[in-house]
Amino acid sequence: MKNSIAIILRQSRLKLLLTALLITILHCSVSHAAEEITLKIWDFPRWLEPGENTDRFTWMNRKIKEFEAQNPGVKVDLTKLTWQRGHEKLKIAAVSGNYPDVAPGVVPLLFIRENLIEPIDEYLSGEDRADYFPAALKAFEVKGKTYGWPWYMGGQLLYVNADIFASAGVELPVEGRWTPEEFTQKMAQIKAYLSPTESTPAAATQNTKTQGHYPLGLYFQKDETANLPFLMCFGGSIIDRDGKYAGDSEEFLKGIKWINQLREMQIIPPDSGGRSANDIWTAFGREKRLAAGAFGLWGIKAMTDKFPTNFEVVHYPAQPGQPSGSFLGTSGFYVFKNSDKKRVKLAMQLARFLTLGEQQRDLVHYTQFPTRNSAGNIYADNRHMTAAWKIFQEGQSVFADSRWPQIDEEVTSAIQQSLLGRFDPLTAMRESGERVKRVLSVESGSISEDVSKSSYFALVIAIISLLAMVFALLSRQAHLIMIVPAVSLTGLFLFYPLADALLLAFRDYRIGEVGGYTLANFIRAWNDPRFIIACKNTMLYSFLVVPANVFTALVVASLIHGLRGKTKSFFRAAYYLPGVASVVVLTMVWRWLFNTEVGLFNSTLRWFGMNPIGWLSDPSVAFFSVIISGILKSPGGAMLIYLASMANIPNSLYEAADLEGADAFKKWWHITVPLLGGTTTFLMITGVIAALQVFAQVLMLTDGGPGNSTQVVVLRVYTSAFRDFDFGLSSAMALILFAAIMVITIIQRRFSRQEVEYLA
Amino acid sequence: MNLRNAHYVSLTFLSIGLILTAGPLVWMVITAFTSPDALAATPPRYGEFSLENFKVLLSAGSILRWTINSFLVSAAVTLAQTIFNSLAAFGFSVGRFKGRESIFMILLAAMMVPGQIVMLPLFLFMAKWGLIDNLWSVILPAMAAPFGIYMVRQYMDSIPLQMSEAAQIDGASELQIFTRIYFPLSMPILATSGIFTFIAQWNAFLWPLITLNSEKYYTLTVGLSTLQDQQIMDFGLLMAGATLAAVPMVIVFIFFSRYMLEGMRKGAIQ
Repeated sequence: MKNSIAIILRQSRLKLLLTALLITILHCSVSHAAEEITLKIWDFPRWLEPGENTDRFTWMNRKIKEFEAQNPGVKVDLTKLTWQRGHEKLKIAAVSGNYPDVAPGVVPLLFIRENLIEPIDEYLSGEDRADYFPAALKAFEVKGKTYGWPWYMGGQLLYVNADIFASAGVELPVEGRWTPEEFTQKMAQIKAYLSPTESTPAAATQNTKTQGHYPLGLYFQKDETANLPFLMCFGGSIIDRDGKYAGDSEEFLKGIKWINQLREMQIIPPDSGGRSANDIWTAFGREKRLAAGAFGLWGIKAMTDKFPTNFEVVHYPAQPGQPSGSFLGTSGFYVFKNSDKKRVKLAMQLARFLTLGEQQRDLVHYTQFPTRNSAGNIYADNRHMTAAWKIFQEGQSVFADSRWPQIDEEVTSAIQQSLLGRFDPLTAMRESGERVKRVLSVESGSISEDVSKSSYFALVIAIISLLAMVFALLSRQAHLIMIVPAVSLTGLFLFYPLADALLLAFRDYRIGEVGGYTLANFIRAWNDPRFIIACKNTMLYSFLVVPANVFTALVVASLIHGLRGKTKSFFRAAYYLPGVASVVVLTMVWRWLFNTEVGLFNSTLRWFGMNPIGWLSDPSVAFFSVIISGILKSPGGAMLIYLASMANIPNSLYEAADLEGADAFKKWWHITVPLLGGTTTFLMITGVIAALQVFAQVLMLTDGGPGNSTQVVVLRVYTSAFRDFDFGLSSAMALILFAAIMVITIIQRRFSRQEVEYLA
Repeated sequence: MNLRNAHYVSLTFLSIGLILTAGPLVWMVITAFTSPDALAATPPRYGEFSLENFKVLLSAGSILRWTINSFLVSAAVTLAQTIFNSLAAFGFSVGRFKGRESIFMILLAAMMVPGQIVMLPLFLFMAKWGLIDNLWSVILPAMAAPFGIYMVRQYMDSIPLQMSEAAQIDGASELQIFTRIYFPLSMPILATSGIFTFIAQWNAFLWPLITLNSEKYYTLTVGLSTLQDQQIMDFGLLMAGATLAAVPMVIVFIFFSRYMLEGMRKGAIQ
């Protein structure tokens, strides 16, 4: 009995001990939970879950909640990216050392080269490895290591509108395959059906309405590979298997010539070089005017649910026996390096969790293909997706190199130019080839290390500011103390970066190349065709917009000046009011007005039976649209300044003119306008200074396109810095702009001084 | 009779001009209040009144947060600029220390520097110090503005020196002279420049676009541009957003138009 009690006691003591241990462990983990790790994940917008109108992050937010529930003590913070600026943002963040733990996308070659990405091999179990499709893992492999968790595979397809084919009496391609010749022939037949009067020129000019009917829509924009297979269908490629530029090869040029031929046959619109994916999608999917168009996999879902269409997915035209070569992409999540191993491990867990087979089943909403076997065949009952899967077996990937975006931008612009008939294809492709070869010749290197060194100068300025404050305090000069805060702030946030920009302009400082001091940036700026276009455009903009704005302000002010009382205040306020709205707001409205398919301007034109204009897609029109939006803005500030100056003109002058019998216009022309000369000069010059810096408007309206036709200087400064990471070039171009503004300011000073003397 | 005709002619011209310059904004409001179904129809039935766009926009949630952020940033910048600019302007106007004019000239030279040129180094160094991706990253670089200092100083220069001399004799400190005499007397110009600062900051786009990464820190302009990127074809929704962004500035204009118009006139005379 005693014994047993002792045993029980001992047992309970054991239990007690165990409990104590457990409590300690629990306590430890609780105290860990108290310090809580917050993982940062960035993601692009995905699909709209049923019942959602705008939020494309519902799935991600739900998965984050699930992950947080599975891993107590871990919080996940989601940053929502946009497809347009997301990549830029990621690059900026990565280079400046401000990156998240987990980020989405295709294999991040740039970041891998900068040594910022953690390989996943260590965290990839044998089970995972067996579960993944080999091609998916391969897509994330660089030099034998895997750098991301593949999530989905997708690609671009050629879609045909079966109804248009049927009503034109044209057979769909057998098994979805066609050669370029067959493709041309079928398109020509459909063209003849869509606009039968085309053959007689007289009828064609009379019946203008049908001229807008093209059976095919193509678009060539940067980051858009959907239509490149058309150019490559004769066996050409932009970069060949050895990693050499092949855009000027005979085969590739043959592709361009073929597309040009389609343009001459009016199978595609004349401004095809400037069309955007959106334009073509609207015409194909929403308005069903096109017989064929190339889009991503998402088109299948869109045309099944939202815009029901009788469509088929088919191969791109290809020579017999050759693969149709649609472009594929594998996307997933990758993990940034971190000194905190525990954090990396958690980030890996999160990335793995998001890409598990069971989660990949949700890809059915996204119409993308899973990358794991365990997801199963989620499209068994979807005829189109099954067809797409077959077509993708003949697919290809883009040149896997971190310099591809730069190459893409060069080549796309050359393709656009030659399709718009600006240059002949050979010249355009050769010239872009020169620049691509230069891009390719630069070897890899890291700038993120150098960036972290660059802020010593700022520290110096901060210390000087502090010392100045101390000095001011010690010397007991109240006024000095008062100016120090403002002067320090200006020094730190204006003069220091200015000095740094000056240094950068004279340094070889770009991605893959951080070198010594050089003048090459200015030479490169001079030889940069986009910068030259930008300079011309910016000057054109200033010369047209500024005088127009000043003239409007003068006329409006003169008319308002003649009014009295309430009417006067009303017009003054009404003209000034639009000026307080932000450029962003105004530009959004202009985009809406200019929209090719549904905008007010083209709707009006159509209503009058005229051809719609590609306000923002036709390269010969686009920049004038930008100029129109610049001219038709509120004359606000300038008008008020004119009104103030007019109030200062002595009435006696007008009375004298009255005596001589001058009419209102003569008085205005001979008295008001000359006397306002000083104000006019002032407004012109300040206007030009502002116009030379035009940016937000262009970024939001056209982003410099189509075919670089709307490049402006500040946009080029911005893109070369934040898209190409060519900081030296960007600073050099900014400096050239600064010099121009400086010259104009000095001229202004000269003028205004004369003005003062004249008044005195 | 002739005068009357001239009056009507100018009214006609002004009205036409108004349609051209204010037209886009009117179109924005019309689109915003048209129901999404009416917009999607071919041809669209404009003007079929509905609040649907605003409902969808507000239910998406973030726009309210962006508005608050824009307000916080604009208010903080305006407050900081009013304090720092007026202090510096007072120092430059009344102070008699060595190098006063040369420092002032250097400050003025800064007015010529276009913002885009300093953007990149500024971004790199603020990133280095962990100052990006929060509201401070937008507020800090805008806290003092040479142009504001210049404007306020011009105004303070016109305040007779005898006033501060008399106060000095009465034993007032420089700070008291500033807070009791110069600051209140400069109220008109401070109000004007404050309103313009507020509007400029509310409309600022490029710098916030670069430095703000998290949606919760977006200002309204940045948020709207991402909305435009996300809802490419939903113009009703976009115009509703644009309308919401424009409304606060219209309110500011209605309440403060007296100061604004007055300030512009003063600026013109100088």
